[in-house]
Amino acid sequence: MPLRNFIKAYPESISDMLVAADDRYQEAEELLLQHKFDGCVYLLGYSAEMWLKVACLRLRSLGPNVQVKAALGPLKSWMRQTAPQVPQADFHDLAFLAAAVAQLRIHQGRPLPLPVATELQSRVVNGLYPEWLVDMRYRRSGLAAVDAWAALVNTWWLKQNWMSLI
Amino acid sequence: MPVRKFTPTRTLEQNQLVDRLAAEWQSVGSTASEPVIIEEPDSKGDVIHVYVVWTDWAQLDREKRGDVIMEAAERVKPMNEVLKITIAFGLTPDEADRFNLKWR
Repeated sequence: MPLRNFIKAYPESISDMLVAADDRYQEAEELLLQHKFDGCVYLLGYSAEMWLKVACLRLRSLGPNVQVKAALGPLKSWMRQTAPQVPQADFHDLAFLAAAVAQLRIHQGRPLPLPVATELQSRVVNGLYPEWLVDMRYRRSGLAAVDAWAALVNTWWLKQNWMSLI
Repeated sequence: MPVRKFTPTRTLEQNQLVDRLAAEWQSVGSTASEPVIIEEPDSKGDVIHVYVVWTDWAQLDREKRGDVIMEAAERVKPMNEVLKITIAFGLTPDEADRFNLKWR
């Protein structure tokens, strides 16, 4: 079956997304070693997005086989009602997803521990969010090694700690 | 007079789909063949999953279909019920059949 038809027929689940997050991260590491910095950062952003989405959906008590796209509309609606101060954004917006994690934890009566909340803010909101957006695919960004290493370190934190967000 | 920019958050097509879905959701005893709205409750009777089968949103991606469902839900349901919905799955009839959803 052609890939397009396969993906349409079998939309990605939470567990698919976890595998893909690791794959994109490893591919980004390969690109970094080859000094392909734009591509490296581009893939790291997707990894971060996927780990944050998984954290949000697990915090909504959704299981590993749930289809991700069917759960994103309800998450956005939940944020609209419970955290109207957070600007609505598309689901590639890392700052929105980080805010959703924090809000879900607050709603459950167990806010993120301060060290974790501080790291999430530092790594994602202040680190990755300003340096990554999907639109970067349409241009040569001319990123340097220092940019790619910064993105790698920030995404590595998420790779190691996404479970502690749940 | 100052010039202000208007930035629509949704397309006209999406707005129309929200209007039509909300109208159908509210119409008791509707005989329309579509959209078909299936509410799946949990063990406590709270609706947590909503499936909508509809030919008219074939061109809309699944993420946007979920947005349309939730915006319609916000119009027709009390907020405490909306907040319990965790899955909003928009399908065409062919997709619903492929996923073995009992909707007919």
